[in-house]
Amino acid sequence: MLINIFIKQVPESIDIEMDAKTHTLCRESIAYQTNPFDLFALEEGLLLKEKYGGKTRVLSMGPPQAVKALEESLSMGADDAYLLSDPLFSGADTYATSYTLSSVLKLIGIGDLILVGKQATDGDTGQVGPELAEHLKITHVTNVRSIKEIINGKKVIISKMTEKGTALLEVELPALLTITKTDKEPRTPTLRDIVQSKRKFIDIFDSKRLKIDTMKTGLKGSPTKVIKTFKPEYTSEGRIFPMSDSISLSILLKELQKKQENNVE
Amino acid sequence: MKLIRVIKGNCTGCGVCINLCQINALFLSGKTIQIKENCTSCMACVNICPVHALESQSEIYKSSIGNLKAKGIAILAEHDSGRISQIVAQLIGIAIILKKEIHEPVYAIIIGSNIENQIQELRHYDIDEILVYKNENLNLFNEDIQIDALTEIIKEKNPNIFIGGSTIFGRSVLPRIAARLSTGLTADCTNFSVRKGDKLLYQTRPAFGGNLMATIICEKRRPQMASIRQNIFQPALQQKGCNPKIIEFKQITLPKSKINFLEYLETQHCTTILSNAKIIVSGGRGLKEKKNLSLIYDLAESLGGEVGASRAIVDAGWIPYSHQIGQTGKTVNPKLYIACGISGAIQHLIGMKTSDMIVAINNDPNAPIFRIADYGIIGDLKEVIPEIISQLEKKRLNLT
Ligand SMILES: Cc1cc2nc3c(=O)[nH]c(=O)nc-3n(C[C@H](O)[C@H](O)[C@H](O)COP(=O)(O)OP(=O)(O)OC[C@H]3O[C@@H](n4cnc5c(N)ncnc54)[C@H](O)[C@@H]3O)c2cc1C
Ligand SMILES: Nc1ncnc2c1ncn2[C@@H]1O[C@H](COP(=O)(O)O)[C@@H](O)[C@H]1O
Repeated sequence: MLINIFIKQVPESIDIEMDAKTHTLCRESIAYQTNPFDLFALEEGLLLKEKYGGKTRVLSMGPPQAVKALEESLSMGADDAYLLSDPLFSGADTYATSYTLSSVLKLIGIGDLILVGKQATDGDTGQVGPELAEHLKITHVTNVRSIKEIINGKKVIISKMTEKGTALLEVELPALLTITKTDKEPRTPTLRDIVQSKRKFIDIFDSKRLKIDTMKTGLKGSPTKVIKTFKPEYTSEGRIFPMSDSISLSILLKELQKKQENNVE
Repeated sequence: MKLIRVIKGNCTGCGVCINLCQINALFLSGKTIQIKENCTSCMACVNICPVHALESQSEIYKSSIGNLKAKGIAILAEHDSGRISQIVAQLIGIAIILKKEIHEPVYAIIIGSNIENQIQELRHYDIDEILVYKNENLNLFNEDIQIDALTEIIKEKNPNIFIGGSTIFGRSVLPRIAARLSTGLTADCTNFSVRKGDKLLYQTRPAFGGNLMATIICEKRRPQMASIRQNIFQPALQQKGCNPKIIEFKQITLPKSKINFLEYLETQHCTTILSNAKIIVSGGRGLKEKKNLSLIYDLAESLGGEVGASRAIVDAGWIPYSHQIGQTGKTVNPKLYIACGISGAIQHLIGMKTSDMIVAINNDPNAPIFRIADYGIIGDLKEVIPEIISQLEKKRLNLT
């Protein structure tokens, strides 16, 4: 099994500042972490490798500091790491991002299974996974809660969370799965894991090494464009009162009743 | 990156663009505009130039695929268990508003195996056409071939705008269709407006867990695609006397699906349809014990709502993950959200802070949840909840 896992470095806090002119993130002043769903995807990949053998690769596109996220993945047990980094990749929307991500797999092999997070906590789109699958022309399934079994290296049995329940599906490989939170907590590397992983190498690709048409990457290659950003106002004139305040409680009850009646209609 | 070019012969040196440029990248040299290296290619000047003297050199902006011919507002009519989904009326609602602005017809696209009922439901809405594709091999899960069918319909119809719901289905198929058509897609929109003239759609959406709103456009590719957040837009109402034309797409042939549905696991737990719920009552670690979860269920029942949870009690195994609300759970947007024994960690707030009305019950007056609550009760939930339930019962009895 060759498993490719895409991880993204996202701001730790989502209370962020935007550059007023370029409408992009002010990346300098903030702390980063690996997108929480991506760690679940990684854990799932590592468990599969332990069960069926093979190799796990982690890949990320981002500025040079994204190596930190890749180092973390390596210390958790990923075998190889790749960073796609070039100023010409910046400002990409989900279309340009997924196109760029697909181009590296076209060079180094798409393997049997591709795992991505359900969505990233910064952009909150969840679009990169399905778009990446499209560029690679392989099947995808979103919202996967667990990977149950690989059959003869040809098929994977998974459970997908839907609005109604969890469905068991069988999907032909190669396939791309977007992973939601699973029941398997991502492992914490030991000090020894961390030290040993320092020997692993992170392969960095720029646009030239990727042999990619830079008209299709970054801001230039993005069909969508952000023209304005603003902080929403959540005006809450909160009325907070103790339980003993029966007058206030009755105001609240009136409100609740209104909602209850609207709901019945 | 400087990607904008001045067409010298056209430029009159009027300077409109200089005033517009936010970063002072433009200046007048003699009678023509020059562009400095700090230009970010934001395109603002290209769009405003009255004499078309500025041109983008980016591939995306040069190639305008089907741009001029694209026409119509298409909505994705997803369905489940023999009925169209709740989101569809909301999509029709926004499509009708857009139609008033851009004067283009509204199409509802529906595909599936056994969809007569759903087509009948759609016929009662004020739309122009229902685009239908029937194939007995289509089921709830073989999205790969549904994507094929939907893309074929879109290619054939070439709409100017194509919107769907940011449901689990929409969030899976729409990005893939967008990528196949090499167009943009804006996720989870909460507001739209149209630029008069070129009918450009301004799509506004929250990012960073609602801490930031962004307005997004897709200038040169068609269709302009977006998914809409659930329960934000006013649903259209069914009417008498609507008579949309039904157009069946018979010529499409589909390959065999690579996704095979085996069975449902744990449907009994997951019957909550939180993302659609109008009222949600959520419990957190303040419940102290699993058995107190019954308080949450009782309050939800007396209000006719659904049950949500903080991660703390999901991790404790008291309630399945499908109930979790927040950054690593669901994003919900009900009319009423009642948080009981939930501290209000930012990761939880992300999933519910756009709720219309937020009520918090917590015994700690400093709990952060009170900062976003419209109403808060400081007290022990074991006393407060039963009190609320009994008051609601009393009022109901008085009314009848
Ligand atoms: C990457 C990441 C992702 C996360 N994703 C999510 C997510 O999706 N959803 C989520 O919810 N959390 C998420 N969390 C966890 C989040 O940070 C909080 O830990 C969690 O929301 C706390 O749950 P809680 O409010 O139930 O518990 P606590 O924070 O322990 O709060 C319990 C509250 O109950 C009150 N209380 C106690 N007893 C009573 C009583 N008798 N009556 C009334 N009130 C009482 C207390 O005053 C307290 O305010 C995430 C964390 C991380 C790091
Ligand atoms: N720049 C990137 N590098 C690597 N993986 C990414 C990148 N952007 C998105 N992804 C993957 O796609 C998933 C969904 O991201 P998004 O569509 O941005 O919400 C993430 O959880 C990652 O697994």
